[in-house]
Amino acid sequence: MKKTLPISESELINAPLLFFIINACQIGVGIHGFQRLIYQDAKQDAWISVIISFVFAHFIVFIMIKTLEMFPSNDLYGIHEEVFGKFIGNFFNLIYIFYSSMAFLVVLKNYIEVINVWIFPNLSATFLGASLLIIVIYAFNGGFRVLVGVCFFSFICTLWVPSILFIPMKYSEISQLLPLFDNHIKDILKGAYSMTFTIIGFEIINIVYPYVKEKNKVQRYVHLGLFATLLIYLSIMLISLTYFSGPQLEKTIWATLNLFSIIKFPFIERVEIITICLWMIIILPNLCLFAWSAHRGVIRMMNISSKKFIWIFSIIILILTLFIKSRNQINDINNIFSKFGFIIVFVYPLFIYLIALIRNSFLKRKRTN
Amino acid sequence: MKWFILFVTACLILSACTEYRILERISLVTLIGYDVEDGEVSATSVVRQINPEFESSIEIHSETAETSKGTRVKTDLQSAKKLMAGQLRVTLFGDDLAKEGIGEAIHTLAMNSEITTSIYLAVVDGKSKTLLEGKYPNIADVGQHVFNLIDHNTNQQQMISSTYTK
Repeated sequence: MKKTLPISESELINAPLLFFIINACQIGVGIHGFQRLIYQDAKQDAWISVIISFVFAHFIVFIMIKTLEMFPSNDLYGIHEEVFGKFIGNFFNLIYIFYSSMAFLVVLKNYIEVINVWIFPNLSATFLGASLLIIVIYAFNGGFRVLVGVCFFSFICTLWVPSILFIPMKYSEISQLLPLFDNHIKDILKGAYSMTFTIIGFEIINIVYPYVKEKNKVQRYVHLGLFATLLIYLSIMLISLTYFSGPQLEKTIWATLNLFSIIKFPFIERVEIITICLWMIIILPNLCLFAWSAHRGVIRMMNISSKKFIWIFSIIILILTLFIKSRNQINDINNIFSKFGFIIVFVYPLFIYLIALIRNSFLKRKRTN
Repeated sequence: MKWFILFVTACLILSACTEYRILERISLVTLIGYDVEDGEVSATSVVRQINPEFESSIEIHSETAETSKGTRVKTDLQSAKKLMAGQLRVTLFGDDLAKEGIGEAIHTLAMNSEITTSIYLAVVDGKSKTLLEGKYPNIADVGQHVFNLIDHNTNQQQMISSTYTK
């Protein structure tokens, strides 16, 4: 197989759009209930954990882009093939494809569960999954630029989330945040580790990179996108910490949705139902881009058209969703996924960066000899 | 064109899948009172019937069963239109039930996605059944009356809001 896949001029995107891609890909189902996971470890300093995790994310993204800059026209799959050779490279590619598919499954399953619990208790999960997958197939067939458009709309839909949360702020008690830094630094770092499930999504830059027109501006817009996500997460975290009491937050699975559920307007009494329905647009870029990321890996290994790929992919995912039924199973798969995601997103880029550095200096020495 | 056909078939197939609720075909439960009766739970519900031709009427049903869901089934057997709890505003507990603990009762309420999380909870001095079934010539709708009673006092901060989220 060729090491670089040809990308036509018409498929390229401008660098500022990366802002929307990163933001849309990070905000998904994790935001529904990340407060509980972090509160368990970091208590009232959970908001510090959020900031720490984003500091790490900025650092990792910096490393990721540095790695990508060494191979200007290649994505992560190409880098694997170039650095490790065909056999081991393909093995790493398979792991990354598996990661993308698992992310897709987790996002889909979590969203279906939220719909089943909050809106339609009797609606079958298979039916919901199938209808969501049809939308994904439809968007996917539009090509990469359509997916970027979906990301843009998703960003617009997330903008009103922090603004509507000003209403619960009326009941919040700022003294709940005190005493500051009362918890051990180890617990705060553990909380930052629990953020993994919520924060991942920015690794999509590994795959998007060759599609960007102005390569020198990539760093700026990716970091801006990350920073925008930080602001949204931090505002939600601060409101939840001050609104809920500690033991209450530990027992609340979807704290963000509970915040929505007290909002009442004269013309619409249950805002959370509208929120959850709109959330479909927010998770759509997650699903589309993860499917697309798996697709980019698969086409390196076998000859398959994108249409055929997305149908086969969707059917496999639909069958897999049938096996995950209860809340406990979903919780387990979330935990497994966040551990796996931590290794893939936060540890692995450092490793590949070092390998690429060694390889490049080795090649340079060889050339000078 | 292919996508259009897929879209149309999806609309046709998928449209009938959710349960829809038309106001004239359902009856709205606005208030429920729970009591203990010989080890079983008895539920007294204030039901508002919406009829476009007449003024809406208020009915009060009282049923006893082993669980609160059981009382709902029994009340459904007594009413001509399907009961819906989406407009439930207040839940009352008789003091004999409240003494045994209302944790379980609140849990089933919270698990029901139909019911909003900002309903008012209150404990009645005596049985809630006698309160709701009493004849009050000046009050048209006892459900609305109890809700307004709690609501305006909460808004004026005369008493603590007794919802379980706020």
